[in-house]
Amino acid sequence: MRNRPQQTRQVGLDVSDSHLAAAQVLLEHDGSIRLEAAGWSTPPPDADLPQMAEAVRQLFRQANLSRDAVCSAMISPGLVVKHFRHLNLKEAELARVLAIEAEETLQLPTSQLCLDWHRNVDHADGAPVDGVLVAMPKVELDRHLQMLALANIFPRIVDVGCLAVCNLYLHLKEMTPSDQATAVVCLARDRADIAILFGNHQIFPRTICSPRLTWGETNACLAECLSDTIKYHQFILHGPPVTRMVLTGAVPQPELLMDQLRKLVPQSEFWNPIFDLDSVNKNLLPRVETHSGALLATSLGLALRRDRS
Amino acid sequence: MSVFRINMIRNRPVPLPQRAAVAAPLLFGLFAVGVLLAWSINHAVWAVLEARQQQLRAALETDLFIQQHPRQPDVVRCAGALRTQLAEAAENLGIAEQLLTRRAPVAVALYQLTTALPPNVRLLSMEFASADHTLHFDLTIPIEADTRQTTPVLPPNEWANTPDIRNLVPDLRQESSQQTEYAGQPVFLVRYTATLKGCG
Repeated sequence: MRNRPQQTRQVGLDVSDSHLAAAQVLLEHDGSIRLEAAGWSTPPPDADLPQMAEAVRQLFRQANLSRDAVCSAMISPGLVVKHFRHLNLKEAELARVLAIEAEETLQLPTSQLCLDWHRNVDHADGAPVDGVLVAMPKVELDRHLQMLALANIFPRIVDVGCLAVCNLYLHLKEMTPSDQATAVVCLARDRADIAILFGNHQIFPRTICSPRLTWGETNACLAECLSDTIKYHQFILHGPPVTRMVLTGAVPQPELLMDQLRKLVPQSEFWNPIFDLDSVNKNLLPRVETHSGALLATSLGLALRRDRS
Repeated sequence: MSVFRINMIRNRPVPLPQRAAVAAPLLFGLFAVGVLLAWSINHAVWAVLEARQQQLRAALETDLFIQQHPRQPDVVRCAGALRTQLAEAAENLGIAEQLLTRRAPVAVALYQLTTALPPNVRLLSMEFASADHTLHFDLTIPIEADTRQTTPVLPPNEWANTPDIRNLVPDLRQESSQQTEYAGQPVFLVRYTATLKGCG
């Protein structure tokens, strides 16, 4: 019997303190993507576990989302997304080294940590390996899963928001030439996930947090942090220069922010990924055509995950 | 299709509610298969026991048969021989039946004809030609002394009213008639002829 590719449907759920966003994507057998349903909401401030679960349940009910295959991402103070570079190690050695690195960063024993990593592959033999280490306290992950279980959701995958956005970007957009880099910035209320993509799907991630509850009207802090990250990548890590910047996520006034960012990287743009999808539910289109559609960037990236391992 | 495949729950087991959702239909299927298997085994055991009992019964009956029929080698051969004999007997019976059907029902015809006659009318003689199934018989009909009767009143109405006679001898007719004496009494001697039907 021929192994015919099937349609797959998955929901991406982006959970953070400032907002909840979910998108249900149908991946056709020809690779085209259709946004079937989506929704976003703001959970109550300082919501406890049952309140967050209720907010998620309401979001799924209102947006008529399926609970069968869900991929979620969480943002928590304990989440660490950091770049690593080590001598060329075997996989088992690298795992041990990264566990120690996570222990040092989070100041917790390995038994109380959850970690995973992505290894950049574009390396010659003997060259140092680099990639992205993701770690978080097990308690926080358990809390996240417990909250979802209260909402009767059992995710297949728990991913990280910035990598989900990168997956979406790489799926929908073309990579820049290998001697140039693209910075993908996913903005939240008090947090920004920056991922500099270069070479053959190599990544340098960085998460920056606002010292206040918001980025403020001037966005000066955000611009400074972005500048630092880009310079660190170019001058310390000797990565290719960032020639393009894409801004997505919860961006309250994109026009004002873009003017500031263009001073940093001239080819900067606000990205609403809805316009790059193959098709969108027509009932949903009026709501997501505005800059609110960018809120779904992380959840769309999560909904594209088709693997478990 | 995703380049970055971070999964923080990669090594975690599937949660219990999800396992339960998958396990419930599996358990139901397992239960159904178990029930089916038990029923099949039960059915097979009963069939084996029945076969065993049948075998014992056959052995007992064979022993009994050998005791009662010491000349017969065994039941099967005896049954075969009896079957052959039965077939031969049936064949013979069929032949006999065919012969009997071909026989003319003379006795039946005679009985029907004579039963229908008045008491003073007697059957004097009868001839039957088996070649053409022709029946000839003579009746004596007494002539009453106080009447000047010159011809007998024949055929009797009883013959005409009896369906069996009409069927057996539909062409019954008077062949001759004469006045004579029988046992010292004046009688009409009437000769009848008919062709018997119902001969195979």
